[in-house]
Amino acid sequence: MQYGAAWTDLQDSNRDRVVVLSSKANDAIFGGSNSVGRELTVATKTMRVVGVLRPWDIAPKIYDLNDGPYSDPEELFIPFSTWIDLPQDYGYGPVRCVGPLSEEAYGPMDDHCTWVQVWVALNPARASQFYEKLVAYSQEQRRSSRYGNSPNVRLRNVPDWLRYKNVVPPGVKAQFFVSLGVLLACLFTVAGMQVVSFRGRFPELGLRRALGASRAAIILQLVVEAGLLGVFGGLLGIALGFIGVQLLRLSPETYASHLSLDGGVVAASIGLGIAAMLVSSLAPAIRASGHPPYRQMQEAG
Amino acid sequence: MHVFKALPRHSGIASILVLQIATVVAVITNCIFVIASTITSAVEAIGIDERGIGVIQSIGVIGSGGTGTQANNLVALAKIAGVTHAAFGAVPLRAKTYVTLGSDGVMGGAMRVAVYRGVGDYQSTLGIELVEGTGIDEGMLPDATLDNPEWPAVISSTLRQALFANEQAVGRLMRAGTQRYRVVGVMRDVVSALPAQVKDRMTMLIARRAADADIGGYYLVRTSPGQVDRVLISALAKLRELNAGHVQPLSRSFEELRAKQASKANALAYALACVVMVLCIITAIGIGALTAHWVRQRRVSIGVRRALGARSSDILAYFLIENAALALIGVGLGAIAALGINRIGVVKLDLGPLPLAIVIASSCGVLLVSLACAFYPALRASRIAPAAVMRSL
Repeated sequence: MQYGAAWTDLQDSNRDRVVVLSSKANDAIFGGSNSVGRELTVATKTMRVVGVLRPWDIAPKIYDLNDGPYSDPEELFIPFSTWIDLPQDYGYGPVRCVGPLSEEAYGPMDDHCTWVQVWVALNPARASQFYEKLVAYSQEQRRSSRYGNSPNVRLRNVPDWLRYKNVVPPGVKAQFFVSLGVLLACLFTVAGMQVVSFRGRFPELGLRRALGASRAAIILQLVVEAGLLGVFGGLLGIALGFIGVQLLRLSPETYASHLSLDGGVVAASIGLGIAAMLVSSLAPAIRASGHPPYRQMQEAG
Repeated sequence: MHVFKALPRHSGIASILVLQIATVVAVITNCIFVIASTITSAVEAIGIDERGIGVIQSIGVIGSGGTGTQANNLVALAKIAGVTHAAFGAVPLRAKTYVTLGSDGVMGGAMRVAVYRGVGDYQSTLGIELVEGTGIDEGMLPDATLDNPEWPAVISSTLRQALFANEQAVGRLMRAGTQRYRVVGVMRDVVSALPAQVKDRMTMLIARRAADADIGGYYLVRTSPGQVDRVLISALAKLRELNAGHVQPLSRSFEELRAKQASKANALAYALACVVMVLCIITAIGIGALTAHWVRQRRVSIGVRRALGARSSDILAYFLIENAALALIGVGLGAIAALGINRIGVVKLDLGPLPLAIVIASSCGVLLVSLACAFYPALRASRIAPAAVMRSL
């Protein structure tokens, strides 16, 4: 929190009209000053500010994926019971109902409709116990014929929930596989180029062999050189990647603003550059080291 | 054929060339497919008359009590100068309601169908095109308070084909759970998503009576051509005046909405176009270098062959045929891989099936790039002077 604090349990159960603002909303409404205790009108009702958040942008937005996992964060938070107390006709999110009903005749407050996402914080070790309780509740509701079907309870933790809701955009998955394809094509190209470049160095390699260098020494020399090239290539690649990320951030996709190059990505790309050079140079190096030295040196003439 | 006799001795380079071309074809084909579907979905007809539709979203605000009603809003909107039809309902390409629909007959199984539900002059506002039967008339609508009313529905041609094939469709009963719908007409496919695959063409249009209640949602107006922007301003002002308790966060022409939706796909297409270009350049460099190397290695044998009577055009043809043969193998493998990747994409990423035309086009493209890159080294080979080679032996 930047200013103040969250509302208390008492305020929640009293349905107090209190609100916590995002720092962005606080900047826009109160010019960024400490607005705790100030009042503002939210949808015709007067609400009192009890807290202001620091800039907080959680991606993916695990607590509500319905508006898209990378959408802008909420600007205003009010206690659930305060909000539910207010008459309203929108903002429930997807409402799902069971039982015979027409398309219009259902509301979120009906006991056969669901619309709230319920979160619990619990000790992972006791998750199965909680799950059993949920199943028991479902069975009990079925016995009292509020639920029509046998229990179909799902209890997911956050990673499972994100997987279930497919938060990774399909476009991103596709781009990942495209990158793999490009990497593969580059590996083959580099392998081809290395064959050519090693061939050009036959006189030198032949001379080293003739002076007593072992085949392994030749292979080591070529591969280490390739690895060094990989380091430089990786560094250059990061520079290009930086430009690429800036371009991608221009995309209208909501996740675009979360794109950045961090230390992990930088390290991974240098590592990948080295690995790519090593892998693609190994076979050509083994081949190049296998030629008889006198033949290699002949090519000097 | 003597052309291929040298290949086994260069199997290393040859296989690198083949694998490189295969990978490039596999990647490029799928990239081009995505780019092509982006372009098609930007211009694809979606079954409505898009020009001249304005969309205003109007939502009720907490605790306002609401002064306007849906029915009054529609009457008022229709009276605005420049508005020819006004409706309330789902915005095309944004229909989020789906039902699982089955027919009364033996034909066809249950289909997942996107529902376009509208109030007021919805069909004329969208500008749908009927191909069979009639549209839904206000008089056809059943009493909504009935126990299980039967709603008239207009279905898309594709849905009609899937449910009824060659049988008569108009007048038939369809069911979605306990809900019953009677087919009164068939319309040209109004699609629910772009690029429209067969499943996105399974759509149904239904109507409701205007409610004497304060309901939030999308209001749609059809205007005379070219007047959307002007009319939207007065329509928005009217809705604000009538619905004190509402806010209108969105007021746009449908064309703008569609363009905005397309811009995400465009961004991906640009990125993929860059990938295609980079890959082409990398491949070109790789193939050029390998062929040049090849020529250098066989300088002596070229000289000997020239001395023994081979013309320089024979040498040129020799290298080009060799390159074409290797590239063909690579392209063939790549095309198979491309189709395989697409199969995975269909299952995992909701892609459409890869058209053969794109496979052939990208294969030919890569083949041409490969030949073009081989051409210069091959030309140099054909110009090797036999005498110079003999001297250097």
